[in-house]
Amino acid sequence: MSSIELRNLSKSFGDVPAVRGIDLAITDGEFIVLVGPSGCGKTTTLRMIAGLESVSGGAIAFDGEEVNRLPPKGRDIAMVFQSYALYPHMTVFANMAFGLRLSGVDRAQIGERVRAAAELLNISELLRRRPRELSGGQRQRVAMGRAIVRQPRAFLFDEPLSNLDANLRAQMRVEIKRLHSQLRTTVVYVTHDQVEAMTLADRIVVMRDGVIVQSGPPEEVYRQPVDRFVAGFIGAPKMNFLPARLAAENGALSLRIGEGEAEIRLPASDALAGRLGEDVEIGLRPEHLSMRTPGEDTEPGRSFPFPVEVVEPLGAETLVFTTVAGAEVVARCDPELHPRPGDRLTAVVDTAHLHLIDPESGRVLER
Amino acid sequence: MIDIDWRQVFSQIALYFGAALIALVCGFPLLWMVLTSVRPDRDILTATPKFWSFDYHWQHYVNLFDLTDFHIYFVNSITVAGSATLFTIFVATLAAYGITRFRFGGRNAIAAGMLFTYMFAPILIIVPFYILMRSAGLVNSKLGLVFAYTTFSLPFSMWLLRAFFQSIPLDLEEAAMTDGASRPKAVALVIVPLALPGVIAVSIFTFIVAWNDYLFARVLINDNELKTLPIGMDDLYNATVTDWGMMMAGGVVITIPALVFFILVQRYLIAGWGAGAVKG
Repeated sequence: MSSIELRNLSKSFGDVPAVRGIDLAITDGEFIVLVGPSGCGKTTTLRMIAGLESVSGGAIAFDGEEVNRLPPKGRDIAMVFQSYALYPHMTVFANMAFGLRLSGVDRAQIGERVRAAAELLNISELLRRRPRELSGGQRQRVAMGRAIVRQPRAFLFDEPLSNLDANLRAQMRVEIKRLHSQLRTTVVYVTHDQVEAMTLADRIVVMRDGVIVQSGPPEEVYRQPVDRFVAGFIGAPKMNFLPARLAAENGALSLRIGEGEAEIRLPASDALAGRLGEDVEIGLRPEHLSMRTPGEDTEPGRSFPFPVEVVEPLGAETLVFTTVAGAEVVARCDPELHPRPGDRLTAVVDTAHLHLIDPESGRVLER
Repeated sequence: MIDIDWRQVFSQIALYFGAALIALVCGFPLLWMVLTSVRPDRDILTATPKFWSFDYHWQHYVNLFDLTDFHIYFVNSITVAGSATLFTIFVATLAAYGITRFRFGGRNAIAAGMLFTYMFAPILIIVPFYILMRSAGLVNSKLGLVFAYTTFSLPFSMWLLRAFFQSIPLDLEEAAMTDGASRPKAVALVIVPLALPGVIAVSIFTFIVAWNDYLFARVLINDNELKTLPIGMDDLYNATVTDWGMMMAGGVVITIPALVFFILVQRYLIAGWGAGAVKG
């Protein structure tokens, strides 16, 4: 096990910067998920940690020791690839034993460790097969087994679940989490799937255009995003964004949505005093809108009309969609309400969880 | 009642008939060679050749090894063709790997230019080649011949292996490296085994080129002790009296190693090794 530190790490491919000076300290045993859209530099970062990509600037340190110039062989890490990268000419056993053989572990111990890892992953009966005789999920397990038997100082995962179907992905997610709680080895996990990031991570690191936008525990990143990008990227369904104008009214703050389609009142705030009369963007998660049928209490100053356009029943909850001030708005709704397109509901806003965003910089404003 | 598609049956029959005909046309000279090699002299040069005769004997083979230096030529051919094959595989593997895995200026030009070397017929380059070899002191040596065959087979071998290496996912090599292999080990343990069909194809090509070559050996070799089979046989043919039975026996013995080599390696040529490596 090991701590990993990235200091002002950067990487360019020719003139194209892929990673621009990121700093990140990963503690021993931590499960870090690097998440972001395609081309954000997360995979390049992982490959630099693995030693598969050279470093253009800055440093990578394992347990305080710089490893920039160390080849992958000398780093004692194990990587699980998106494509699994199993050696097709070897059996599952030989695939898993490959790294141990290279490091000169004796045969008896190799057998023992491979069998133990195979048992942990439920692939004991596959040891004599070749990769082409395995299903996608089985290959995925073998790839993880190959990493586990080495007992490396860190596991690196490069979108390991993206080739699996949804059911299998959910199942493997749980297994990876269970494995980590058993092994307590440092993990750096790259994905573009925010659900994987939320469910697996001790700490999420959101990347965009080669820089770290935000890093923190999943809850924190979800509840207190630093900007519109993180707010929109983390969470499914996505956060709703509504255009509004900030005004003062009777000692309180008022948000006029669109052309006055609705108004929401907030307690007065010194932090926002300088922004009165300016345009802002409201960020609201779908679960922070509660639906009221006509006739129910609607709490003026905290609600707006919600004419249902589309309904998506998911079983445990139902998603309802409408358009407010030109923006699509989605809300989670109790399925017992049986909403139907055309229903004129009212959405009550949980103002405690409402985010105000500067439309120019995209930063989430202090309230 | 079984419904028979007669059109399909006839097309199958026609196909097999055609194939048998081609096999017969190609195989007949070989068969004639084998038959002649075991026939007494009086049956070979006769006004009415017989296809079958029941008077077979091995005397031509005995003569071939007892009365001529055939065994020397045979050993020379095996040595030269074998060495050229191993050397070509070694150099072509490294070159093809370098061209597929590293980025450097002129990489694509080299890859594209490889086959241009075959625009020149060997006979065109034989004189410059001889001068080159003479200044290197390699004329009249087996090493010179090995280099000659390697230069001739290398471009095609590199081109073929390059295509094989390109088809092997980079992930596999990187997986081997993160598993603790150095780059040479990753290549030797993961890449080369997967490119085995390509390596086999290259070895067949080189072996046949070297085994059959007459031109380079004729020009580069003078000593009888260094002659390879094609020029050795040619000299036997040009001897005062041509012993056709012995010539044919020589022909049979020359064919056998190439045949054995091909039978040994052809099963590795079957593709499909790569299946299951990565997603799919």
